[in-house]
Amino acid sequence: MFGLKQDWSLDVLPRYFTLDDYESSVPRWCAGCGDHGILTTVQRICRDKQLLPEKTVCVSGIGCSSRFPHYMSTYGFHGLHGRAFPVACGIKSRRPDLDVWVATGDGDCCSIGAGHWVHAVRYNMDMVAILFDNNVYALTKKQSSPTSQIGQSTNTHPKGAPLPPLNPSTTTLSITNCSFVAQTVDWNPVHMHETLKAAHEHKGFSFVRIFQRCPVFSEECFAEAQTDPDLVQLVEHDNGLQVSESGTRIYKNRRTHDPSDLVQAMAVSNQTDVLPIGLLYQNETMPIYNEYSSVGINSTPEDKINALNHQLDRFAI
Amino acid sequence: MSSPDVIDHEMEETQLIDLEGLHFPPDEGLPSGHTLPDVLRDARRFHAGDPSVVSSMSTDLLPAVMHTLRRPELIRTDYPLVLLPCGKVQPLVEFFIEIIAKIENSKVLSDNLVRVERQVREGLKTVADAAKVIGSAGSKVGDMLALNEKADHDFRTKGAELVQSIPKGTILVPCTSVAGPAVALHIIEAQTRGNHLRDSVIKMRDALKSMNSREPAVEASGIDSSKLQTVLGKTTSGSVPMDESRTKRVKATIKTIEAWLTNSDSPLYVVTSSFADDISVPHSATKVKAGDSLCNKAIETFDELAQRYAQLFGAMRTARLELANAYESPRHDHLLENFCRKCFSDAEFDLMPKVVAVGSVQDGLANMASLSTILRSARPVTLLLLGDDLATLDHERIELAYLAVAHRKCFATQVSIAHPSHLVDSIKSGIDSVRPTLHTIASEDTHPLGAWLEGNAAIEGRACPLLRYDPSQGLTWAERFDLVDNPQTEHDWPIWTGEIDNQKLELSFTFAHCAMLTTNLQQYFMQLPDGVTSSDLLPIEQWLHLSLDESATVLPYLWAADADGAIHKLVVARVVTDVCRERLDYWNTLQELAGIDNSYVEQAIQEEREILDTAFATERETLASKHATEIESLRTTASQVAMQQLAEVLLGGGGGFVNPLVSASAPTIAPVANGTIATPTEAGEEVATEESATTEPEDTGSGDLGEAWIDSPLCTTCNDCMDVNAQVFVYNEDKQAYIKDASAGTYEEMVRAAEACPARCIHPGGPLNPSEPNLDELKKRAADFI
Repeated sequence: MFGLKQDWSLDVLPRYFTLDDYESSVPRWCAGCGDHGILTTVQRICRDKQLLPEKTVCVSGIGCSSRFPHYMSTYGFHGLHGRAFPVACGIKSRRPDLDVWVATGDGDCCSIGAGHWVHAVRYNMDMVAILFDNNVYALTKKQSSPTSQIGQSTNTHPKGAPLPPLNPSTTTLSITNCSFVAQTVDWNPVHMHETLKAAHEHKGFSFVRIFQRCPVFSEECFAEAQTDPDLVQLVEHDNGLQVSESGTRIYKNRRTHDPSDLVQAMAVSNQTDVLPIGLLYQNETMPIYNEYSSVGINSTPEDKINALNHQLDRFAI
Repeated sequence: MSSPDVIDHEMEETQLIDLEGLHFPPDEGLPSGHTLPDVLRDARRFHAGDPSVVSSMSTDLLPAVMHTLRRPELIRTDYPLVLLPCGKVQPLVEFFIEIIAKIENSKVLSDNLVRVERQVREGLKTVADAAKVIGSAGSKVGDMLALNEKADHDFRTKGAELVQSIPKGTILVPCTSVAGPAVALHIIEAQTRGNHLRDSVIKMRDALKSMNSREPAVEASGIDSSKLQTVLGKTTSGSVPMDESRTKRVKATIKTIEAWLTNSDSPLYVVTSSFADDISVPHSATKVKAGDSLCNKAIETFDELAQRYAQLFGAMRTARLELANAYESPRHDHLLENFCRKCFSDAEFDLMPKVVAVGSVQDGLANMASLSTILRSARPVTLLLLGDDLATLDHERIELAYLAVAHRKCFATQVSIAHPSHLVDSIKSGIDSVRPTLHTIASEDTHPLGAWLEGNAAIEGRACPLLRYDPSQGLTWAERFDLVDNPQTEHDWPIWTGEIDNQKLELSFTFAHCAMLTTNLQQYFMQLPDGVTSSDLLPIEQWLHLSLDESATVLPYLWAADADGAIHKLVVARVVTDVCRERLDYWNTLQELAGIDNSYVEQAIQEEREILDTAFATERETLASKHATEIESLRTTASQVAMQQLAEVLLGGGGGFVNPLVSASAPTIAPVANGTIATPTEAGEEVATEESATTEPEDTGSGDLGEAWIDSPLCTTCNDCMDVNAQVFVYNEDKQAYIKDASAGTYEEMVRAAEACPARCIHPGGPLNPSEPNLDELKKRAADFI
């Protein structure tokens, strides 16, 4: 039409952000910690999408991973233990224009924050929740977390954790109004990038569990999977993540899974002999609570009084 | 809110458009004191041109489909155009893509080229040096972005690399009226640089001189070559001295060539009318001012050059013949003495300097006689005539390009600066055609929305349709004439389909839409109060299809959007709709010439259809008559049989009781598998067969179950029978099943289908194959469906 091509809009911001613009102080995570890669991946996505730093918020609870907001040159909220989700939901509820990222650990999310986690999933507000799952409380020097493996030696269970681990993905999938669940590994940035990118593009609450290495307190948890790609199962589908060959060629163990199939998503994520990575479930038709909670946010006090009067005038005493 | 042109059917052959941001305004009813009849009465008076009803149109209204294009500075068009020294013309964005690919590690720069592009576009007002403009724009973008130190360094370093890699002499052209001549002259000038005539001429002269210089040397040796040849015999080859006339001719030829070499003709002569005196021309070109006599001056300039080049080309032809020792005086003397431009070959025309005349369409109209002289002559002069009256209400506008087509032998186009790829292709094709060429270039650039949108609106609204006529392409119209690059050429007007407030809407873009963009024509549009709906209002594209009588009682309107995206109806004044009809008539004419909706083809189809309809009607009548006769015959026979049998029963005659209904009506109730109807004779035979069956009980196949059939009107189209056997059961045109070929399946399948049919409308009849297994059981099951 009118001789215009598809990329006809020159409506660009008079600003440009490099990766540096999303970097804050130097991360104080241990060398070899998987959190570094996750941070960079998030920053790359912000850069690629030219997200406005002043319109981006990173929220966290307590733990190693919860230092995340400190290292992002955006707005941030380092909350209380287990309370990342209520803060994030509060932000999104009244500022739906902001891009909200939540960084939470397996202890922060799945233990003390479990109640908030359940409701955040149900609220399905448009945000990305990244679960840094290293199977251990690392900030407090190696206590068992809800995702610690049976027999994993920790300071709280020196002879090995006695209980089977909680599976955050199956738990999330089982919550009403769940709309996006994916898994990835921090040692495959290509796959992780595509996973987080898809999560960011998803409208609703995107839950991404990242199998994250802790080289100090739970090194043994993912060492084998890191060296033996056959212990990782690549979950793929035409409607799933489209990861370039460079990020997937090492994986011979593959499984086709339609991300619209919730029941199969449970089965895929429930496997214990392999680490399934990919998009487990996506449903963009679920209601998004911030679309309801933010109604009328631009109303002035006069508007509200007028609306109130209008309603009251309908009644006669 | 509903509107007459809100549609809910599946729309075909239209193009989708994003109407995001548009909405119907809240229906707040008519202004107080106004009734619908009042509004419509005023609208009628406005449409008719009653000066007492003035336009009430908001100034921010645009045709609805243009709402997203409200801010031209945010629109990426093909401009600025980059004119490379090699003659290539490309949009800036494509140029950037090509050039950035050669620069390594340039992410910061490549990410920001869109900003540089925008800066270039905003700053470029006239033709300018590309490196300079892009360098300056890059600096401004760098300052604006205030990048961190590292990124800023990368941006500026790589930016400098980009600027350095721009070929020297590259220029940028903005989307203004200068674009047409600038692009055309650039392409033509680049083409002349491939002309190596001077080198060829020098070589030819040297060869002639060499040939000529050998003659005195032979003579000086004192040997008579002709006598020597006599001595040596005829079989011996050897040179013979040139005769005097030949020597004289060779010398004259050398002299002519050398005389030409002393001249320094420009490769390009640009003849300009007063209108175009200010245009810049390539450095190598010579500008010739023509005042008000553009075409005459162009002819004069060309003829002068042609005369000079006729001498040269004549000399060159002589030289070639002499060097080949093929000059035959009696044959060639006359030919070369009268050598003029009419004797030029295409290659020789191509070697001549180019003559390009630049002026306005008015210049062409004012010099019609000389314009016509050029177009019907063999002078390959290029005329660039600029038109800026794209949305005029002039009914009597002369379409110069269309007029040029009537000259048949010239290359003619209607191009627009708003469609640069069509413009460039046309200019190149014009050069290749080696014919008189007329390019009428639509190039209005005074509209606030800019030349791009204005120009494209003129193309979309058929105010200025693109056309190209190239006789070099072949002998038929289909080969010579095309409307390529016009939008939706198969339609009267471009049609767009989109959604507003979840309602599908079909929006056209007519000449009226184009006209409402023109400030001084906005007085011919009247905004109706929101919410006005009436059967007396019709979208203008539909209104234009009404006859004059029909349209007299209905008002045409179009949808326009305000700055907030609310869409409103505008009634269009008759003065505009009259021009719409005129533009549509012109467009339909062009369509016919291009083979679209050709009336001859339509007539031929209609005639053929009438012939076939007549033939079918005759055949139908014959069959109906035959059928009626057969029915009457059957009826008579059946009643006779019934009466006879009744009489036999009543009189106690032999033969036992025969059900008259079965015997008489069997042929009509149960259709025979092959679709024929039993004749009276056949009916009689069946009676006889049935009678004989009592004496011969042997099973003959279908037996007493008759033949399979389906009571098609009862079919529920459930597919169950087709699942059993899709060869036996097929759907008719009502998508109800019938038996196409009973023999394509087994009797078991027939019975199974009957059992599966929820409507129980399948009657399996008897088996066709007496050797099929389990027939007894199957017939028992089939008996339930007789």
